[in-house]
Amino acid sequence: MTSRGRALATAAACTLMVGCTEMLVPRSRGLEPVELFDIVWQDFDRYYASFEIKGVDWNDVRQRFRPQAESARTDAQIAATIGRMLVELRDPHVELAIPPHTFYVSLAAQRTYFDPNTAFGTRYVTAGRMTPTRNIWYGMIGTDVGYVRVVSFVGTGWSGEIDTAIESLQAARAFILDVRDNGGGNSGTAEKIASRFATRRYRFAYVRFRNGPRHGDFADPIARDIVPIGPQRFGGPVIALTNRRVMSAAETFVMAMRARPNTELLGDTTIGGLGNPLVRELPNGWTFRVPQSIEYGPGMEVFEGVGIGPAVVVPHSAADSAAGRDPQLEAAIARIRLRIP
Amino acid sequence: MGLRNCTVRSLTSIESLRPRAGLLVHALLITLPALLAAQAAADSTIDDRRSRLTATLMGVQMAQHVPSISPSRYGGSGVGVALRWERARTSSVWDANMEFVHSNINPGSMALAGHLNQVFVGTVALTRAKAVQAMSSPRRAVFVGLRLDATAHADVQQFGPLRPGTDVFGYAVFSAGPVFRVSFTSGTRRLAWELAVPFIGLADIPYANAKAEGSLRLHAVTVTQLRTVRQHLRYHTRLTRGWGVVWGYDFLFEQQARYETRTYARQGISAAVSAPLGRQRP
Repeated sequence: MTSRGRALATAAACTLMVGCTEMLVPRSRGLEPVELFDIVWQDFDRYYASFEIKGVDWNDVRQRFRPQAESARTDAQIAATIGRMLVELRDPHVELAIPPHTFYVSLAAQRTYFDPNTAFGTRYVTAGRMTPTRNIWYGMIGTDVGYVRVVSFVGTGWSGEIDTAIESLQAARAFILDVRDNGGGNSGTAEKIASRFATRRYRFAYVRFRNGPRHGDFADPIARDIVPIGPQRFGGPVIALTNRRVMSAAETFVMAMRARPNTELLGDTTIGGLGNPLVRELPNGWTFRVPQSIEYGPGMEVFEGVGIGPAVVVPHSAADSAAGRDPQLEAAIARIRLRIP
Repeated sequence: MGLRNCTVRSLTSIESLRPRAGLLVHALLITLPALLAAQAAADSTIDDRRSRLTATLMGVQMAQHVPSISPSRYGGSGVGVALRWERARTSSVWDANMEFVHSNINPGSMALAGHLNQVFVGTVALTRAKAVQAMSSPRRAVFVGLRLDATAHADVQQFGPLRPGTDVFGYAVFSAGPVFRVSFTSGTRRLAWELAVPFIGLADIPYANAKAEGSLRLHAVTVTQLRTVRQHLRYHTRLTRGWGVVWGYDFLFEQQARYETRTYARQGISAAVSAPLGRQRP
């Protein structure tokens, strides 16, 4: 063979030897029920942030539930086993999505009796309006207090709607920011709305992400600041209304209000589910969420699993709701008027 | 739907839904040696000692298995561009290459239909090699040297139809290692094969997604944590006034073993236009 021939033969051999990338990459793992269980357990073991805070012995959980997984034969059986295992974490951010349904820790026990139509009704708020996305409801209470209810923080790109609300409530000398029953959404959106109520930069939280195989492995704290943005910023007195259905990004908002000067939290304790969730998938198409971070207050206080307690606790009973009253809003109105200069 | 039915359907779909672009790549790879043989028949001169600038367009096929993103293997195809400066002498070679690749990859499974990752890879490489073999003939040259690589790999995960949103994974590696290059020249044509095996470097290989780290965190890596093989096969044909066309085949295999074993493989074919820089030397 000539040198040219050898060269070409070598080139061809090298080319064909590596001709298929997929041959070099491990195949997808199996789909036996117990393997699905093992993947979920292992992913939580690797990424879940709050084992130590919640005192959960994850190895013990595995020992208790794996025998059930081994005997599972159907989708329903293994899903139920995985679901029971995940409930042990008592974390509202943990979800198991089995198309077309999504299962999560039930909030039914967190009954609040909050009725947004009562709060927003003519009894308290006059000239009430909603922004185009209906995420923000706003109006005046009397002639001097602005009322803004943020229904949800889901999505991005609409936080500027708060500017419309603030502009139309220019007569307000104080604000009541109502995030009761707000289940969260995008924490960036929550921070942007909070930034309209800041006149200077301030630190409101730290976040630490799980970054290692041990349950106590965390990256360095990342500081989270509120930076004033928007055409109009309100620096006067604020009362933020919370209750037991406030979670996730809404709790981020509450933390931002908690650290804001001249601000009071009123109502009930939040859920305590602030961990940023990592979305994981299983080979059979199911997905689940693993909270992978812990949020801390500016003094490194932990709210995960315990919630953010208000400075002023005001209960809201079924009788109040039946009578068309909102005692938390009434208390907020009374207290904010004391703060108006 | 029972789980076992689901299993069978998923595995079947993995086999049947392999990226179709890959078939085209494989077909071209099989015919490439024949094309090379046919074109190498000519005999004139490629003795141009000027530096060259080469602009490349690539079609790539990639596959990866990254447990921190998914337990499933993802595969797919994409495109890339590269800009390369080369100064080749009889005794030495300088080579600087900037490359950017974008691919869409998916698990190829009916059960995970709609799950899609977009992969963005940027690489800057600098190669310095010297001839180690006396020219046994004016046609063949063997070079050995050092290759420095800087690679940033971003993997944007889209969660699927049930859960709108994305997350970003990825890594960054600065590596160094030996490079071995053989080139065969025949008239206006040159075939060059290069093998690079980086074995030491600095890497930021996050435990999970990018936001978990917050910033670039480099640590030293050796072959125990980073195993990479790069192969480049290029066939230069000269056109008029020193301009040329370069056909290429690239292959990359990378395995990271920091927290888990992450495997990446990529191959691609390319076509490039090569232009001389400066005046021709006597």
